[in-house]
Amino acid sequence: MDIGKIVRVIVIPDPAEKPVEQPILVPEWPVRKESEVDA
Amino acid sequence: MLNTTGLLGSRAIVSFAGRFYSPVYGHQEWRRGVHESSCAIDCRYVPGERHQGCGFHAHKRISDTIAFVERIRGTADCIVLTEFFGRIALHENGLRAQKARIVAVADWNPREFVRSALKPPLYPSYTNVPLIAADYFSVPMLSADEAQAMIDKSWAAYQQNRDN
Repeated sequence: MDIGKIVRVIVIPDPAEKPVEQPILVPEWPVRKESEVDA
Repeated sequence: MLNTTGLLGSRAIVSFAGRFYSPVYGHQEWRRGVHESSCAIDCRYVPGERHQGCGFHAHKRISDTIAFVERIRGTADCIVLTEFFGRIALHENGLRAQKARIVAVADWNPREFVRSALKPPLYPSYTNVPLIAADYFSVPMLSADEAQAMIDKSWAAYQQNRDN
């Protein structure tokens, strides 16, 4: 197949490749809501 | 219409024993879904700039693919609209790409033009390769004009993104 001379090289992301998501950080101890904190 | 995000192009595939292959590199079998190319002489990236060979090839204009199929007398060929991703080498009249996926088949049957020049027993008219391909890849059949319009639209969208 004759497609002529090369012009430039580009990158188009594959939509199937999802970006790496930020990990959800889980605290190692239970966190109480502010309303539950003892005065 | 089709839901595509990559760059579109047209290329030929050839039917053999119920499966589909590239007409030039016969070891490349086409199936449903995304294909990833590799380089026979170990380019670090595909497509590389070291030579003009590796990667999935496609034309920007369906008329160029039709001319190619006519030139090689590809009576078992059909023309497919293909979506390309990843690293892509843009050429004057087409592209070479790292990843490819067949998204539609063009309603153009090479047997119609070759049959007139050859004896019918060699090329029976009942075989419609484009119809078989559309079923095999589970993709729609588009007229050549519709497929060309989609190619033009995808290249215009790429150009617009590049300019912004």
